[in-house]
Amino acid sequence: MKKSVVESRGVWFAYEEEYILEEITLSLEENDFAALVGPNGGGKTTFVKLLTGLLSPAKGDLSVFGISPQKAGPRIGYVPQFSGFDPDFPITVLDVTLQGIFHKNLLGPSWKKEYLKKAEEIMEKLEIVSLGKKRFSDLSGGQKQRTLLARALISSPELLILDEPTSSVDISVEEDIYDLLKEMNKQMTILLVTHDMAFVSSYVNKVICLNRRSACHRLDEVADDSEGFSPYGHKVTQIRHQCGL
Amino acid sequence: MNHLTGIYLFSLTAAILSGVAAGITGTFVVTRRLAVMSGGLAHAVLGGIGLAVFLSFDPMWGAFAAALLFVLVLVFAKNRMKEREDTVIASLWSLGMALGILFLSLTPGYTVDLISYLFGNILIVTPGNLWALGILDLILTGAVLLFRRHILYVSFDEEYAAMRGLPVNLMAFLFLAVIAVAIVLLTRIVGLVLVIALLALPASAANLFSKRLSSMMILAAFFAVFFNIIGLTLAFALNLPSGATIIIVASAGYGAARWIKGLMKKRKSPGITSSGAR
Repeated sequence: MKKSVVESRGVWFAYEEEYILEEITLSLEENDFAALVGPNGGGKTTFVKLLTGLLSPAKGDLSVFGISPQKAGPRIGYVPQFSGFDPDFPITVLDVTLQGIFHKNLLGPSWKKEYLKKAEEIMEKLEIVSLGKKRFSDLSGGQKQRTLLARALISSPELLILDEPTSSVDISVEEDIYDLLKEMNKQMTILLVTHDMAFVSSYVNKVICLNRRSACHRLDEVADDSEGFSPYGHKVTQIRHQCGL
Repeated sequence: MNHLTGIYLFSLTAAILSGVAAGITGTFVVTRRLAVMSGGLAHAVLGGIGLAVFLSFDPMWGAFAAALLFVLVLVFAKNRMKEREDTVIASLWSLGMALGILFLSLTPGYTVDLISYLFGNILIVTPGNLWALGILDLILTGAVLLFRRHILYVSFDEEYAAMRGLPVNLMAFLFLAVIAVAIVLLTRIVGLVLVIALLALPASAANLFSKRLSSMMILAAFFAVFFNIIGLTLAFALNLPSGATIIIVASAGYGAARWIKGLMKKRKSPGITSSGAR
């Protein structure tokens, strides 16, 4: 039996008085590759913030590896959208990568050799080692995404969460990133926030639809009855929820 | 050494010490996008200065109290009351200035030179001001050396830093507190109206040439010291107001830095000419 990674039981969350998330019940198991899909404002990013411990549920139980998300922090890797970063911030690719293993007790201005070696290894794996001294803001979209992925992976996380990792990259880079994730999925559970269901459906084994409430499907439960419906120029997968989402 | 040379050397020391503080705190202001907050805080301290003069205290203590109050009210209104930050800053900015003018007008036999608080005068800096600036420089340098990576990561990506267990709220408050102290001390040099330019311009110029936050701080301190010395020397030689002259020099310096950066970019991309791509 596979180990449970994420357990969400009746989770509610509100920023002010209005609930953004209602009764979210879902689970992720070891080596799941799950897509979290839903409309803008449906609560995807809020749910990710709950999982990473940046927010706490108003009601319900949420655990990651059987403990609270705040305590599970070091076991979680997180890749946010790079469009949210200050385009003028002075930081090198190497320093961004090293943030993934930085903790508050590391005082002083410089890094130990073992940390630098670890960073070099992961940067080499992601083919960005030659960019180490470059300024993060000078990179292309694909290079930025790989750098943020390196930051998330340097701590060898057991759960990797990615918030629309391919929203600002071209289609060839998108394919590269998903192939890389598929390879990494052998060692870790992956939760991918995305709009692009058509593209990721060949990679994921679970789909979580979120629009305030949630519905969780294994991929083989997802009915593709959308033949001929292609408003974006390619085939779109439609999911008919029993719960009316 | 004659009296005039003595005043110049004394002011030169103030220019160097204030440049270091402006460079380091200016880097926080620019990278954390706190320029408007800093401008509001600088103006609001007039309320504290006015009250201190009215109650016959040293105006500097009034300025410190007002700056600290500004930071506390801003943090409380933003985090607890969920008020819009820009609205709170604008309100405190105006309220501080209004209170300052009110208290100064109510002060019997008021003789303090209001203009020197508004626009600064490096030539009337006291030994106490120099000591305070020197101590601030030491604390800032020590803190940056010890917490370089904390500062870097909280400034770059606060959410990720929080996930890694860094005390982001405490650090955000300390950033504001350090900026507040620096602003109060720098108002003696360039005045509360102009101080934001001394924080923002050298740091923005430094950001054009820096790949790292630490090199930005060093370069910003160098630029700030350089602008201060040139501005002070010009003011001394041409009998001009020192604060305004320093800021005009800093603005020209920022313009020059932008121009040089533009030239460097053109050199790096020779395929693009002014008439378009080849």
